[in-house]
Amino acid sequence: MRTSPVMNCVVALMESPRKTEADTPTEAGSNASTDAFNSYVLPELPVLYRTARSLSRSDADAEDLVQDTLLRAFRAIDRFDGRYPRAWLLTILRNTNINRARKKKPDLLNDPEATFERSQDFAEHTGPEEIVLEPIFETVVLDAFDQLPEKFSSVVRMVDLEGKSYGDTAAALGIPVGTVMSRLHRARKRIRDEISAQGLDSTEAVLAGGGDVLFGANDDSGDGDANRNNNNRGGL
Amino acid sequence: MGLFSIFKREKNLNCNEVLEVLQSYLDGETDETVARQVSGHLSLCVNCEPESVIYQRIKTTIAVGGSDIDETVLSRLEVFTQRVSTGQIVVPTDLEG
Repeated sequence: MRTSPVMNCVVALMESPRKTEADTPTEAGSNASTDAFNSYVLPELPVLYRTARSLSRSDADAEDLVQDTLLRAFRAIDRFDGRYPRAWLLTILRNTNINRARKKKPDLLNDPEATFERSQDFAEHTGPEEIVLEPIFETVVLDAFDQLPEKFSSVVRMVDLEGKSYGDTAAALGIPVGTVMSRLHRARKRIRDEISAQGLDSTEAVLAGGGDVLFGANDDSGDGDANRNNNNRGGL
Repeated sequence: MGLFSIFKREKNLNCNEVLEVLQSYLDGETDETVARQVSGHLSLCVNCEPESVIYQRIKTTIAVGGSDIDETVLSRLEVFTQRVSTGQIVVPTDLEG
């Protein structure tokens, strides 16, 4: 199994991989934790990886990010109430990504004092026990994309993923160019509406999710914005 | 007419007209004239410019994250998850973040 350099430094691989769950204690010391963690995480791995990929520069970085996220999630499993596992995991993923970016570019902010203050602020808000659930632009988009009917998603896939022209898309699907445009417009409008529903309309929120983000629009993640959190829970 | 057409200003699109062609503009499917008109409008309009940013970000997000996932990557992550949960990979207590 591939592990990142970071993982090699911080993770000790135990021997006897043939041990069963029954005779292998978890860090939390119970099979209940093992079962709970697996039940929360395994169904969400595709969403986690896709979100990580949209936040990372490469597929390898995305996989590393998910692995780091899983380690942090397991450490915090005993403090998780079991509700909204996807939102819980995605919040850890986002915080992990911000932390990794900060470590990679420690001098990005030139003012040492401001950097220190922001890092202290960041540290106060990113402990797993203080996780605040907030929507992530990329996840909202990809979730909405996944929920599109096939006739809409196929058009979006050809234009945005495969880079096809409207004409080529029309030819490939055997439909008029006007229908391609109509479906594309309606598909993106559905995604756009979901972004509004999640409270991600602001330019700050839109731009915060990029791979270069150091401190995004969610610096104030401890503010407990109930409306956004409720939206997130409903949507995720 | 030929002389005066040199000085004829390009049509100014209103917001509704821009939103009608915004998707085509972002997809590079408009002709140069329309593209120039839309671009000019977006540079001045506080309502349409943010819409353009959001739709462009939607396109980018799908382009990067919307492709199918390599099953071998998912398999590796599933194994990793199970090894973490069963203690075969120990989470260090001083793990940052």
